[in-house]
Amino acid sequence: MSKVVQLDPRAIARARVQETTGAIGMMMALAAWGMMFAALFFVYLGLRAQAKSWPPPGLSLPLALPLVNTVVMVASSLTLKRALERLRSGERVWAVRWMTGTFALGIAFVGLQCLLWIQLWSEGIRLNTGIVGAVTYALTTLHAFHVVGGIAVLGYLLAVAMRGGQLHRRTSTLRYCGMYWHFVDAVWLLMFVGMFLL
Amino acid sequence: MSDRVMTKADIEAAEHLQHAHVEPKDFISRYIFSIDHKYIGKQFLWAGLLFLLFGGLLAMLIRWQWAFPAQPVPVVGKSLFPQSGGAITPPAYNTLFTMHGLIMVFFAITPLMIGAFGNYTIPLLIGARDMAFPKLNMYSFWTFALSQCLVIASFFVELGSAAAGWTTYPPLSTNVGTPGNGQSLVVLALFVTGVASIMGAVNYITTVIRFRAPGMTWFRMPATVWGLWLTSILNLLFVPVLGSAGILLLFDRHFGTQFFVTGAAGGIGDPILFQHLFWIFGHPEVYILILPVWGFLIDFMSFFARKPAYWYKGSVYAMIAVSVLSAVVYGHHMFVSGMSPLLGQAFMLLTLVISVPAEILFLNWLHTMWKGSIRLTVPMLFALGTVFVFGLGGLTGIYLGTISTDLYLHDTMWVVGHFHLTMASAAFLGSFGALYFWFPKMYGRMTNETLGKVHFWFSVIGVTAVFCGQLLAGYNGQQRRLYDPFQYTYIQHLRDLNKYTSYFAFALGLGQLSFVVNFFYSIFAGKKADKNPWDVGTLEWTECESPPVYHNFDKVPIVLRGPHEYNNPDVLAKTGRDWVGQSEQLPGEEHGLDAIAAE
Repeated sequence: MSKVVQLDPRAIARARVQETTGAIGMMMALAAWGMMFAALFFVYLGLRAQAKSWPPPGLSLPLALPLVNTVVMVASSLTLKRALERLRSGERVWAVRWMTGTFALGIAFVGLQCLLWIQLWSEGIRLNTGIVGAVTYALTTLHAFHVVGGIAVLGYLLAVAMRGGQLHRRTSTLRYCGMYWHFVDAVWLLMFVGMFLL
Repeated sequence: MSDRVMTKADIEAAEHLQHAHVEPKDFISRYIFSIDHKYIGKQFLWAGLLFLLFGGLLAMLIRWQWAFPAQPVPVVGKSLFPQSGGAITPPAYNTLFTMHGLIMVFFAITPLMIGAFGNYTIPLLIGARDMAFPKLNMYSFWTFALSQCLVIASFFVELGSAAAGWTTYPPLSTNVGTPGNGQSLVVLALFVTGVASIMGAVNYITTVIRFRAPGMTWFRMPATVWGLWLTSILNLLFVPVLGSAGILLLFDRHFGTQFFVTGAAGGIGDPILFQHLFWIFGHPEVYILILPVWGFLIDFMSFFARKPAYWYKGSVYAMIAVSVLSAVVYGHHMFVSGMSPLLGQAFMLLTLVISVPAEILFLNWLHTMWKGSIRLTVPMLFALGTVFVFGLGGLTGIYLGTISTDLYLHDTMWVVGHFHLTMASAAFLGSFGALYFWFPKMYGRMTNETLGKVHFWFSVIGVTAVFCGQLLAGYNGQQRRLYDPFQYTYIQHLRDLNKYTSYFAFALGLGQLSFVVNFFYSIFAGKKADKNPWDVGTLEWTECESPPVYHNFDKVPIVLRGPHEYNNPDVLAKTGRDWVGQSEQLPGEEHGLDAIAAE
């Protein structure tokens, strides 16, 4: 990699093709992740369909926190989309601002999830108290791990920007990070509707 | 579309897009964390062969137990089972058959066939300089190596390795059935190896979509690439399902959840759900293990019968059809799980429909050989053996796909014989055929023909006899997985059958020594292979030296025709050869490159 930005049209063409190759790879990886979450939902639906009543009597899952978190998650997707647009149009300062916003929203999401787990725990819903607890903890923690993964990639890109690195050379990384982030967002929406709302 | 004339821009773009990687000089990035697909392929080959030996030795012990139940194992017994005076104990027996299955499926055949040949052949066969994501490829191998370490570690913890059967069904696989940490380590290993498989799949799929050389249209790809590509798609979509099942099982084992625990254990979960997840993955898995072999067979039949592959497109469509169908037939593994009869019938119908595309493949293989000038080289012998055992396996599967006969045959040795003929023997023989075929390219030396033939006859007679013996035992009612089958009076008359089956198994095992000798001898002292020892036209033989240079191709090849051009009278007249390279420009051939040549 040369350090000077070259406007060689062939280099630009190659970067474009490579970005598409990477995006195809990312889509494949997301298909795999999608099947993983689909299998988890399959177990959830299988258990819920066999339950006599859902949720079991005397037990209710909180709605307020997940609702707030849904807003946070959707907002973070929008800010990340903005960041990519700004980076593409060369407005580095704004790109970093939107990325920082997304980063903060991601952290907020994980923090609020922790609050949710604390709330569930204090209400006596544990991993071993029944199927509701098992499903809720397992699916939300697995999802939260994926949010943490996205935060880590964003953090890496922000670190590159802080050190004065050439952020625009990482445009494709930000794009893949965005694809992943939107996917994780969509999984959360399904979880919110399927587990907390309905 | 497939005969589109190449423009100069296309060719320049292809050349420009794929840098020739500079060969690293330091030891670590060259021999350990290599990003070269050819080297990673070899790493997978060695890792797979090592575990094939491991799994094979476990099989020998199982066969000993079935021939001479609870008698001390000769030679190694005293050191392996000291407490029982050398005899295999019931818990040890459970671990043996469980780990034999898991090791063979996930840690031997998968790395050998998909890891080794997928990595080695895909870029060479499509005219690429490396995989789309070379680093991901390196991570894939080392993730896989980690999973193998977990498997080995599982043997050294208290209570030993996994013992719940390769299917890992709860409640056997919960803390109640297998309380030791060995079971958890193996489930974790399955998850980790799944991650490695998915990384490989992402790479293979993207590489084939994006990195085909100019002119390498989908239907000019060797069938090998088609098989590996379809396998990768199935891997990508269905391995994650097993991953989820594994995660939830680990939750059940260590975090007190009860997803798969019910009934007497006081749980509120459902063990049948695990069976669903397992077979949603597990049925595509058997096609994951056979599709690459089908690809090899389509190519080898043509290469060694010196004829174009009969109805090549039909074979490819058949493989696609099987791949799609493989996703919707998993229920036939669960006919006896209390499934709704209507659902069972649907699964039965879909299962039996698979015989139609499978039959197309069979007829195409046979038709390719019909009136061909067959060269009985070692790879071709292995290919023919594969067709034979896969035929036996396919025919015996029909009785398992049909509900009325499955009710009787379920969980008998018939099932064991059937799936060993299809996914074990066919994958085993097919992989070795591929190894003998690509060995000259991989190591630049020829293997010994005589030793190869000895290996072939031991292998093909061995697997046929062993697994037909199991079919017979199963048809007579012998249940699978019994520690001492002859405790049951109705099985006692099968004692001799089991003994002879075991003798054939031991011969099969000993016969593999001919391969070991051949492999090591040929690597170091085999006859030097020239560029194209088999006289075939695919890119790895016509455009690369044996072994190829680090970046595969000095110039990205321009592909002009399909992979199976043999005994074309036109080519014969022009070159005097019965084959022509995929990128070979024949005198006077129109292909739109003259303008470039003139410059």
